[in-house]
Amino acid sequence: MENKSKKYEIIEFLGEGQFATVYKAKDSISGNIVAVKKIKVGTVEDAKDGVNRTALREIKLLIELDHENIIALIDVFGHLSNISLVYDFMDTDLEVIIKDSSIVFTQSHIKAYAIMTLKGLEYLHMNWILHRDLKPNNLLVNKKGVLKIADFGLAKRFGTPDRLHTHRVVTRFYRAPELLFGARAYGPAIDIWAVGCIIAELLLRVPFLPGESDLDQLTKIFTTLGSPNEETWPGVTKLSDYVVFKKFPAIPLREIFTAAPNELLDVIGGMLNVNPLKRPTCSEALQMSYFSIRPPPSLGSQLPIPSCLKEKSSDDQDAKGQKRKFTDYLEGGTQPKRLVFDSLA
Amino acid sequence: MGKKTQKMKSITKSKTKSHKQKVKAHKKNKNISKTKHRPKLRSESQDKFQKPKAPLNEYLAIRSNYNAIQFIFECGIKLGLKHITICSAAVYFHRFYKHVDENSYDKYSIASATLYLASKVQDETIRLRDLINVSYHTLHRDAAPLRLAEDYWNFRDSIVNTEMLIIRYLQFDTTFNHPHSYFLHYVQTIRPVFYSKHGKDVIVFKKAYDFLHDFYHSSAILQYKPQHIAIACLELAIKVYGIPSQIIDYEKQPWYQALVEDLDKVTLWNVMTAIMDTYDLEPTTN
Repeated sequence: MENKSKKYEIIEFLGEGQFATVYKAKDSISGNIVAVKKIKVGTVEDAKDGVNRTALREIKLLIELDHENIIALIDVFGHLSNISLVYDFMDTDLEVIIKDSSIVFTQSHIKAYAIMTLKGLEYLHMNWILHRDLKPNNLLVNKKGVLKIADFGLAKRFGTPDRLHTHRVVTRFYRAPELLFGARAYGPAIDIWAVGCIIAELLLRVPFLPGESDLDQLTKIFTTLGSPNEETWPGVTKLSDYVVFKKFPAIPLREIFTAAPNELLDVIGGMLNVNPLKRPTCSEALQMSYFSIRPPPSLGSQLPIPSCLKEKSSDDQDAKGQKRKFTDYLEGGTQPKRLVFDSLA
Repeated sequence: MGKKTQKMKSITKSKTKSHKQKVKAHKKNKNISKTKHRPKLRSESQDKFQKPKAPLNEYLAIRSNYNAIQFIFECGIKLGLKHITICSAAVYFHRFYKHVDENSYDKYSIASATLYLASKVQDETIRLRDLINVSYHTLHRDAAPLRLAEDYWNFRDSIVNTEMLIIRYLQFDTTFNHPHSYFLHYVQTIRPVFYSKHGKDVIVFKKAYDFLHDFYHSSAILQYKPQHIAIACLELAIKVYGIPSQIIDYEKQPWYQALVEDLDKVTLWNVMTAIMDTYDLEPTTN
């Protein structure tokens, strides 16, 4: 077991998260390129409490999963008091691709990303797992154009009726209204909401609902999609953190997404229904007509590659880690981009 | 509480029964596990001879794996953990000792650390301090409360380090397919067939459930399929307590073949023997 840390030769530093450092490495036996995520034991609290819970949860869930659109956990090894997780190497993530202004998305691209996300999520939900942290940053994409859902640090099994979950999950922009209202008994619909936000973001190229606080997030949701009442969402007033909002009418999605076909608006509208019970499941969403009409989704090889990867043939270190920070759009730095569609018959 | 969640989970997956039956079965099962089962586990050995008041285990007198599992069960129950968490801890314990020499490590340290690990895996967080206090007082029953001093910090470090050691020996695989969900499903299926009008059926299922949990004291639990273990527990209980029904005709077709396809008589008897052998593991006290 000890020699495993030597089995992987570190190539370069990829990034640093809240509780882990990620390296690109080479498996010296098979020659495969992998990503090694080393869990930090830096903080005093972590060291006191033993094995990192988040890592343990991620290992526990990923070890049982096997799907084209879910990140594969290849190996886990311990070294001293460290735990390292070994994954498929992924070149980039959807956040980088969305932010790359040199990329123009076609309908086919968007459809391809949406289908891959939904297929991965469908598999998760079929295995009674909620992801609870879907966002472009956690949808990794490799050079072949395959999208894989990653980061299972918040994922949890669901399906036990009397088991409550915490509502403090999901990055705010992608958090469903029932979570913001403090629901503790929620289900796969929270992940569907996040997917809806991600698809909308693919169209707009900026986060669809960028709330600055939890309350602001609700305001943004309701001013855009209309505020809920007992008729549109039975039971909403009984949620623990329910607050009454002024009556906002829903803005027609057509006005927000001017270039999107009607079928896509149906998908977004369904997923972003404020009433969680009215949102489609992954399987239902995949059956919607948008996914079967023309144009067909792009093949992996036709999907765009961010410019930072193209240039990176030499030793260009700066290009990576150039992830946008949340502050970027708060300052209004990026302009919303309209879709440019090449002549669609 | 613990039992409930486990049961409910399997209920959602098995859609064979009407809701009414589910609730009924569910309530009964809850009673079984909660009120009568728990105290029994703690002191089986002494139960036979001194029925009214069973003395508590003196764990430090005999350091066997069997005692260590009893220790896991006792501490787990004191900490209010779900059965499935306690059972996972027992499984980690057995897996760990598959790789390790019997006498290399202190069994009760390993036992405490498996509980800690299992509570993390099952998302049922316990505070390390609670675990240390409970473990300490289970081993030293008359001792004064543990002070927040050097000893305490040493215990803490030792549990954290042991946890890491265990998870590395387990090769980070913390999954285990427990027989519980199959067990519940089978009970729900056979109960109305076997006992349509009798009220006294509970004892058989309760005993079967006891067998299941006692079987966790043996490392043989790792060797058999969870479906087979669940059936074997039921069959053993049926054999011991009899069944007031003419439905079972082993000549024609054994009842369990309707539930599990790949279980033959020889395998079943092997599992049942393994369950019975568990009771021989119990160290005899003088």
